[in-house]
Amino acid sequence: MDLFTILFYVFALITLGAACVVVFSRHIVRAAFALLFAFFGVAGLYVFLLADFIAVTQLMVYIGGILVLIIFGVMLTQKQINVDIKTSPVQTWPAVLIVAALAGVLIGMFWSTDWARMGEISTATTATTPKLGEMLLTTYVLPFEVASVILLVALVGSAMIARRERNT
Amino acid sequence: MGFQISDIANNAPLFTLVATGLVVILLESAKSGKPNVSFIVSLAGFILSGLLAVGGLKTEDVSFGGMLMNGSYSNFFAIVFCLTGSLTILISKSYLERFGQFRSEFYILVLFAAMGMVLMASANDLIIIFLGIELMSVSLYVLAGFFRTQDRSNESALKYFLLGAFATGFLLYGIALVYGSAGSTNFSVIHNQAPALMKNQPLPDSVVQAGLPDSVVQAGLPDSVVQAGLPDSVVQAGDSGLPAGQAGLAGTIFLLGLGLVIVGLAFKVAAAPFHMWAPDVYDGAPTPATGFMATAAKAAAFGAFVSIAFKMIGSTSGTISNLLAVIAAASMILGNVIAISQSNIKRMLAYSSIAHAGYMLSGIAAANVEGQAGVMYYVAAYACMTLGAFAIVSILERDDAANLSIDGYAGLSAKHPVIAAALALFMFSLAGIPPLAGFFGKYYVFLAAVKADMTWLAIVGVLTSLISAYYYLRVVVVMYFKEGEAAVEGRIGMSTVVAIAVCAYLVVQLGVYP
Amino acid sequence: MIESYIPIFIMIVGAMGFAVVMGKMNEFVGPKRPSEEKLSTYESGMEPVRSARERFSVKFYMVAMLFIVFDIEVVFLYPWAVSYKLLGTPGFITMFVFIAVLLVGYFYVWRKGALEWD
Repeated sequence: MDLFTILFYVFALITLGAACVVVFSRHIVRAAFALLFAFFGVAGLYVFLLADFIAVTQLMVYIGGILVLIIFGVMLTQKQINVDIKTSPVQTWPAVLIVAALAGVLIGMFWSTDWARMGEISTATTATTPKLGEMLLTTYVLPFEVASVILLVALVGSAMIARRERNT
Repeated sequence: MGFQISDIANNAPLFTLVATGLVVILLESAKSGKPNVSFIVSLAGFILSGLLAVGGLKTEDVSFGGMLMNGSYSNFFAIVFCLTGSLTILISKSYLERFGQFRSEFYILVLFAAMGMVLMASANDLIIIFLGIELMSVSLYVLAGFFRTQDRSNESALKYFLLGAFATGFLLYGIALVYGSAGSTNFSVIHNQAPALMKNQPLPDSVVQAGLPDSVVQAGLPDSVVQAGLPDSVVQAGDSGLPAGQAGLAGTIFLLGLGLVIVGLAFKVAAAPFHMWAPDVYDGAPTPATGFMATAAKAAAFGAFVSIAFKMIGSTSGTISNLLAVIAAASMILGNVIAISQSNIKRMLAYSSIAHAGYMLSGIAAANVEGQAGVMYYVAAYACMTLGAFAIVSILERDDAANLSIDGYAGLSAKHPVIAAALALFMFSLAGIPPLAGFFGKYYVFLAAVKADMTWLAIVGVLTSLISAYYYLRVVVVMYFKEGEAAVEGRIGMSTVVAIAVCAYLVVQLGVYP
Repeated sequence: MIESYIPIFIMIVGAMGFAVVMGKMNEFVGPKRPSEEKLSTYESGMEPVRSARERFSVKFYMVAMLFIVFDIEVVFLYPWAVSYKLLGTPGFITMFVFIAVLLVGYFYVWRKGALEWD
């Protein structure tokens, strides 16, 4: 077992453990902070998949942005901070069916994938970010610019909804 | 590859809309609180964009390295969006003024939503479809919640947002699966791969059956229809270079991806199993925004749907056709039957829009040239009549939303004969009474269904149309033959009248000269 | 390929270790003469713990929203910056358009007063 294998398991453990806390914790703030570690663990796993750009995006957008928004959202919600979340199962059987089907697909994937070939891929790949930058500004220039327009609309839309009421 | 100057010329309508949107934002920032200026600039932008689209009808081209497909198809839809967009703007002016919400943001959002729609209709790549849907949806979420102080409007926006985000998840996952199995997001590439992928599929009949609810199978779906979807798979599976298991897996993943993409789009058009959001959202949103959602957004989703069905999958897809046929039949039955029991006119129109989504889907399910043409005609006809109906609803709506009930329209003909006549016209057209536009739309899509050996679908369509006549005509009966107090409060906006007139003219025009 | 991440891992371990060691050292080495003022969370700041029933202002949401939008912009900037030399002037113009569109939004938000705290 080399260092990377150990590190991989460490990250996998962080992700799984934190995800379990998110799901099972009855304290919403605690769940939100556990999500931080889950995101962090996933970022580490992306590094092991040689997806460096995705890893950076995960760190910047999810840990830096989305999580802050989630915690703000928790705090914006009245009286929710110290209240236990109470959930009760509804529609148990359809849920069990769907989960079983999804689990079946995932396990099927796991068995049928030729994991041994993954080694070849990992040695053949180089850093993805420069390649991504090149593609984004040449072949995918239109999606790139449309993305900016979507961000603009999100900006204007959120400003409109959250705008303070003026006394006019 | 990438970007060329001709790309801008080819997509002039698209860029006009973006430019107008940016200009309106800048104007609004520079001199706040002048919505009249935004109103005029947006209207001018839409009209210019529409005219450019008319000019571009003849040139068939691909732009941005195969990202967009320009030509008669995309420009036809661009015209529909510009028309509905400008009509929405016309309707909205007096409505928003009455509710004290006359703001430039409404026009900015309508412009960018229209831009997303144009992208969807001219897309030649799944990424563009996704981005277009997002751009359109984000704008529409805010438009639904435009009346921030109204609980109903907020509820509408929240429901639309949560369910819309969920549907986008399905769509994106579907796109990922299609990309994984076909190796590209480009329609042309996938189109070449599709037959092989479908044939390598090991057990197509199980997938077909999984997609069909039992009730429909029992409702008289001929076995031949299901069988038609079966390629000679088992024989062919061994022929390809890949091991049989792997090839089969790719085919299954491809179909699974397509299924998820269809679920995502079916949500956007509010087709039957994915329609639950529509009545609540349509009811709560400001009426001009509802009209825009029910017409332009639906037209855009169909623009994307037709592209995916015809340009990406191609005509070899029996399985997909059957899936679509089932969704279409379910939409027609559900929408029309539930619409009967509605007393609120906006909710009634919402269920009617679900039913019309079903009619249009049957054109796509037919998967032939007639189907494609029929859907395009239907989209235009449907946009005119539904937007006209919503325009009239917007005139009559008051602050407390009390007179949205159909009974509130009693006696309208005595007080405002012209408005009543216009509404009656739209209702007749929606019910599909000749010689109005709605009739020919239905005629074309059902004809296409019959040609594609889907007679059962056409029969379901005709029967449900008969049901629909009941609730459409009820509105007319209430207006003309019931004593009542229906009245318009205050002055009717000039621009709204213009919009209604344009809709009415087009409904007749499209019907008489199809 | 993955070897190039070794410095980052060392950095993470180092940073965590440093934080833990410093925190613990303070506990053992530092003198402890507590007074009421000192025990408050911020000696000269505002009282951070209040009734949880109070609602946070929507201003926080606005700031978070703006942050996310520009955060995502930075994510788009990053691959461009990495291959900047390769992309040259066309890439620069493309990026300029991208930022210009967002600047319009920034200008709008600014003029609408969403950036003002009071």
